[in-house]
Amino acid sequence: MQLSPPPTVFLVMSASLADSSGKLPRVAIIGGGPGGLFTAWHLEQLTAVPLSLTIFEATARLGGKVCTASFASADIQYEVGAAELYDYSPVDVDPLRELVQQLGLPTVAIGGSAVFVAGRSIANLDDLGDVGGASARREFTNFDIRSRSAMTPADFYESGSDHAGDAVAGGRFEPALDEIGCGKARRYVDVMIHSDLATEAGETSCGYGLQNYLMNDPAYMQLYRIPGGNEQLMQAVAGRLAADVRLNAAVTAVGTGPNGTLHLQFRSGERHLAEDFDTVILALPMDALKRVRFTDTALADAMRQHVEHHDHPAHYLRVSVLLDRPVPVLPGDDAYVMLDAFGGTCLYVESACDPCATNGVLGWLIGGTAAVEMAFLTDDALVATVLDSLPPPLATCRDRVMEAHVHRWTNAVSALPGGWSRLPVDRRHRPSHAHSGFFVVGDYLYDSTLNGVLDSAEHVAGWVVAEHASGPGTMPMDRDRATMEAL
Amino acid sequence: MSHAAAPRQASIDVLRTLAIVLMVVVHFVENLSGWYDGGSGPFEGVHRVWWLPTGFGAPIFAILSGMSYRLWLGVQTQRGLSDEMISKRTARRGLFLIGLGFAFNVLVWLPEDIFNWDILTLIGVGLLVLDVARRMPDWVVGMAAVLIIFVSPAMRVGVDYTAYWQAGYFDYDFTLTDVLLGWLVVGYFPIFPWLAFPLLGHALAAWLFHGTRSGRLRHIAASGVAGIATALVMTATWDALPAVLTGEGGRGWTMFPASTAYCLGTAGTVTLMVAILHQLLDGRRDDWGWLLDWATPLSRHALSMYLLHHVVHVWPLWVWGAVATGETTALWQVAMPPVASLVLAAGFLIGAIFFFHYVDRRRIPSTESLMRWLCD
Amino acid sequence: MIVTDHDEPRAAGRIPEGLPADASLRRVLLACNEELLMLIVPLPDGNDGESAPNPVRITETVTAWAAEVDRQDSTSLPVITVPLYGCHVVWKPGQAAVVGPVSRLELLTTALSNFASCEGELRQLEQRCVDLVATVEEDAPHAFEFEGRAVSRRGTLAGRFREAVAVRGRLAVLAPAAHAPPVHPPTLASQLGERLRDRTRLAERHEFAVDRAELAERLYEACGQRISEFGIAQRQMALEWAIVVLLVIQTALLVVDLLSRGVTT
Repeated sequence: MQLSPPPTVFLVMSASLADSSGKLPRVAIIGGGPGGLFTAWHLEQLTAVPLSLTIFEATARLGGKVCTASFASADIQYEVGAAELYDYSPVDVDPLRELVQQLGLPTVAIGGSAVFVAGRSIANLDDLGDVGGASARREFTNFDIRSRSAMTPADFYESGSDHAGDAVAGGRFEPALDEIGCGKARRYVDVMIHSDLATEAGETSCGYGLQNYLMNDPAYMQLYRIPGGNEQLMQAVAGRLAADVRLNAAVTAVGTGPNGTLHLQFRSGERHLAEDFDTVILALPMDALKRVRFTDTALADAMRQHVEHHDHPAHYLRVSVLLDRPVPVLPGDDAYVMLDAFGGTCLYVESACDPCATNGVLGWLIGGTAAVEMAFLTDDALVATVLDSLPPPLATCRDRVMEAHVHRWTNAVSALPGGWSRLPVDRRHRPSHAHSGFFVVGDYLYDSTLNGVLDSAEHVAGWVVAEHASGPGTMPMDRDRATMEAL
Repeated sequence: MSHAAAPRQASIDVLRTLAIVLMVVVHFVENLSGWYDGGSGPFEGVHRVWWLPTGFGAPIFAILSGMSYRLWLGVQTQRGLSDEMISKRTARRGLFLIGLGFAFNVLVWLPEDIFNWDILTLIGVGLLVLDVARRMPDWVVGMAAVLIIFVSPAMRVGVDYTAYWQAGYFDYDFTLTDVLLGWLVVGYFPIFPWLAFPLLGHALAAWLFHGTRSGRLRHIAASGVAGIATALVMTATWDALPAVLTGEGGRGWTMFPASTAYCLGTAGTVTLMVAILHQLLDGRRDDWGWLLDWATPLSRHALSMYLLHHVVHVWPLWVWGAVATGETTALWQVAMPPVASLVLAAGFLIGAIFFFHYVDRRRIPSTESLMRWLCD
Repeated sequence: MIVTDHDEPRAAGRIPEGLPADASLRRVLLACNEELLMLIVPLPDGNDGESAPNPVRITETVTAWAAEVDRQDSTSLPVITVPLYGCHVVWKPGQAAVVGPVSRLELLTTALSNFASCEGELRQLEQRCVDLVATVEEDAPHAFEFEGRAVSRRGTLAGRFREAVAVRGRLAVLAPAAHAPPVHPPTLASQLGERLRDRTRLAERHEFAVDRAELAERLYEACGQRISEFGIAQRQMALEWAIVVLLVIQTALLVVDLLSRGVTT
C-alpha cells in the first residue's frame, strides 16, 4: 500500500525527512488503540520513505476499545468494547468501510427495530400507535421530521468536519426532546438512543443527540460487524505495520528536548526511560490523556485548555453472557433490542448472525449515569441485575447462563465530542502552535465513533508527512498544498 | 452432371434422370437413325410432337448444374470452407469440365470437332461464371440470365448464324474468329443464350431452398407457367416478331439455334417441374423410395453417363463404318431404323442403372470421383 | 396490486390441522397474473405473538404447510419465514401464510400481496432474461458481422431485440419497488416488505436481470445495426452488380459485333 511518488518528489522528501545527521525523523505515537494504530497506518501509507515510527501502548494488547474476547467454557467470542461499526456509505464515501474491505475482512449487516418499554415491544409506528395512541405516533413523527430537517444526511456525514452545519453544535439536546409532547413517545426516543449517547440528554449537545437518533435511519447510516470479532480490524492493521510497537510502555510525561525535539518519559515494566522524538502524536482517550504530565509550561497550558474543552466523559458498561443453547430468533431477525432498563440499554444478541451457533451470546451495553452507578456493583450482582431486564422474547435465557463477564468503560468515551463549541479541525489536532511536532488524535475530536478516529488519524498523518516534507511551522493552507504535492 | 456433394434433393435426382433418359434417346436415335428435329416427310407433324421432349435434355442439365452448384456452395460454407477455397475448387471443376469437353469432342467425334462447344464446355464455363455470380444478389443473376436470352437473337443476326449451319450441323473454320464466335454465339451450346440456364438454375435454387416456404412454390410455378406461355405466344406469332427477338437460323421453337421461345419454354417447363417435383418428392423420400432407388444411381453418375453413352454407340458406329465401307462416318445417321436405335437406347439405360448400382455398391471410381479427387 | 380476492371455504380441506378455528385460506390474483394462496391465521389482538396460544406450534404448522403443498409454479426459492414483532409471515412463490393479531392482518396481507406481485413479475422477467441470454452466444457473431446466410434470421433477431427492450422496460418499471429504500420511521408493512425483499434478494436479482437484459439489448441492438448496414450494402451492391452485368453483356455484344465485322471483311 506504499504510495510511490515520482522520483523527483521522492528525492525532495528523502532529503527533508532525514535530518542533517542522516537519521530518519522519529515519530512517537502514544496509544495503541484505534487512534494510534490508524495514525501509524496512515503515516506508513502516506510517507514516501520509511519513518522511524514507535507506538507506545500502556497495556499488553493493541486495539483499545475495539476488543473481542473469548469465553472460558467455550471457544466463542464476544465483544468487550465496540459491538458494531458504522457504515456511512449510504451518504458518501466511508473510509472505515473501505479500510475493512481493503483488509479483506468479511462483514455482516446488523439491525434492530424493537424498543421494549414496560415489557411491550415497539418496533414500528403501528406499535407506537397501539401503545401511546395517535398522539404518540403524531408526536414521534413530528420529532422525526424536525430531526431530519435539522440535520440532513450530508450534515450528518460532515458532522465532525469544519463544514458541519449549525445544527451540530446548537444547544443542549434535552430541550429538543422536551418538544415531544407525548410522554410515551418521549420515553420511546429516550430508550432508543440512550445507550448510544452513553450520557444523559442534558449533558450533550443537540447535534450529537440528533446524530444518535438519526443513526437509526438507514438513509443516514447502517450498522455492521465483522464476523469473528471486530478486533480483527485492529489486528489486521497492526499486523501490517512496520512500526516499533512497545507494549506495557506507559508514557508518563511529555516535554521539549534539544533541537526542537520532544522529550518522552515512559515506564516500561519497572524501568523509567526517556527518549527524544521529532514528532509526538498523542492518541489516548480523555481519561488516559489527563494522566500524562507535560513538563513544558506552554505545552502544559495548551493541553490543559484542550482537556477542559473536550473533557465530557461518558460511560459504558458491558455485560456479556454465554448461554448453553442458541438464543431464540428475535422478531424481525433483529440483532439487538433496546430495553428501557437502566435508562435505556442495548441488548445485543451477538450470536444472531451465526446460523450454526451452538451457544447463545448476549451482550448488554449500559450507558450514561446508570453505567457509572452500576460500575460499583460486583460482577455477580451486575449479571443478576441485567438478567432481570431480559425482554419477553428472551426471558427463557435467564436460566441458561453458563458464563458471564463484565467490562467497565467508565470515562472511556466522550459525551460531547468536539466540545460545546467546535474548534477548527487543525486546532483540535495541534493544541499548541509553539510545538509543531506535537499532535493529538482521538474519537472525542470528531463524533465518538471509530469512523471519527480514522478521520482524525488521517488528518494528523497527512499533516505530519507534509510538515516534514516542507519544513516545520507550515500553515494549514500551505500544509494542504504540501500534502498534495507530497502525494 | 453431379458436381456437388450436397444433401441429395429427390426432385433434382429425378429431374436429372429424366434428362439422362432424354439425352440417351435423342443421341441414339439421332446418331444411329438420323431421326431428329430437322426431319421432314409425311410424318413431320407426328415426328415433331414426338421429338419435342427430347429438346429438354440439355436445358435440364444446364439448369440443374446451376442448382447443384448452389446447394454445393451451401454445404461447403456450412463446413467452414473459406471463400478462397470455394473459388479454387469451383474454378478447378470448371476447367476440368472444359478440358474434358475438348477431349470428348476429339475422342468421341473427330479432332476437327474440338471446338464444337458441347454441353460439357458450356457447364464448365457456367461454373467459372457462377464463381463470380455467386457473389451477386440472386435477382441480378436472374436478370443476367434473362438479358442473355434476349440479346442472343441480335447476336445471331450479326454473325450470320445460318452460314455456320448449312449442313445441319456446326461447321466452322479453324480461325480465332470462328472459334470465338462458336463459343459465344454459333456453336452447339454457345454461352449466348445457353449460359442463361446455369444462371437461372442458380437463382432458382436460391429461391427454392433458401426462402420461406409460404407462397414460394406458387411463385416459382407461376414463373414457369409465365415462361411457357411467353414461349407459346412467341412461337405462334413468330413471323410477326421483330428480327431482334427472333434472330436468325430458325423459326419458332428451335434448339439449334436455341431460340428465345425455346429458351423461355424449356426454362419455364423445367422451373414448373422443379416446383412440382419439390412439392411431391423433397422431404418425402420414404414415399418415393422405389423411384429414387432407380433414379439416384444415374443422377449421381450423370457425367459418366454422358461420356459412356456416347462411347457405346458412337465408337461402334465409327468402327462399323470403317470396317463396312472404309469410311468411319459412313453409317452415321443411317445405321439402323429408329425403332432399333430406340431399343438399343432402352437396353443401354437399363444396363446403366444396374451398372451404376454396382459401381456405387463397390465404390468403384467413376468420372465424378476423379473430378472430386482432382479438384477438391 | 390485488386484482381480485376471495376467501376459500375452510371445507376446501387445505387448512392444516391444529390452527385456530378462524384460520382461513385466501386466493389472491396478483397483478403479475399469478395466484397467491394465502393462509391467514388471526391471533387475539394485543398479544405479541409470544403469549398467543402455542405460537411456536402455529408458526411451525404454517411453515410446514407452505413447504409441503406442491405448486406447479413454485420455483427453487426456499420457504422464507419472517418473524415480525408479534406476527409471523411465511412466503414462497405462489403461497404464503400470515399469523398475527386481527388488527394487523389487513396491513400484512396487503404488504405481502404487494411484495408477491413485485417478486412474481421479477421472477417472470428473470425467466425471460434466461431465455434471452441463452441465445446470446449463438447470436453474438451477428453483432460483429452480418452475413448473407443469416438473412433468414433477421426476423428472429428483431423479435429478440423487441423482447430485450420489453424486458428492460418492465425491469425499469419494477426498479423503484425492487430498490425501495428502507422507510424511517418504519411501519409494520414497510418492515415486512423490507425483510421479504432482503431475504429474497430482490434488489440483487433485479440488478442481475437488468444486467442480462442489457446484455441482450446491446447485442441485438448491435445485430440490428449490422443487419441495417448489411441491407444497405446489399442494395448498393445489387446496383453495382446490375451495372457490371449490363456492361459485360454490352461488351459481349461489341466483341461479337467486332468479330462478325472481321468475318464480313
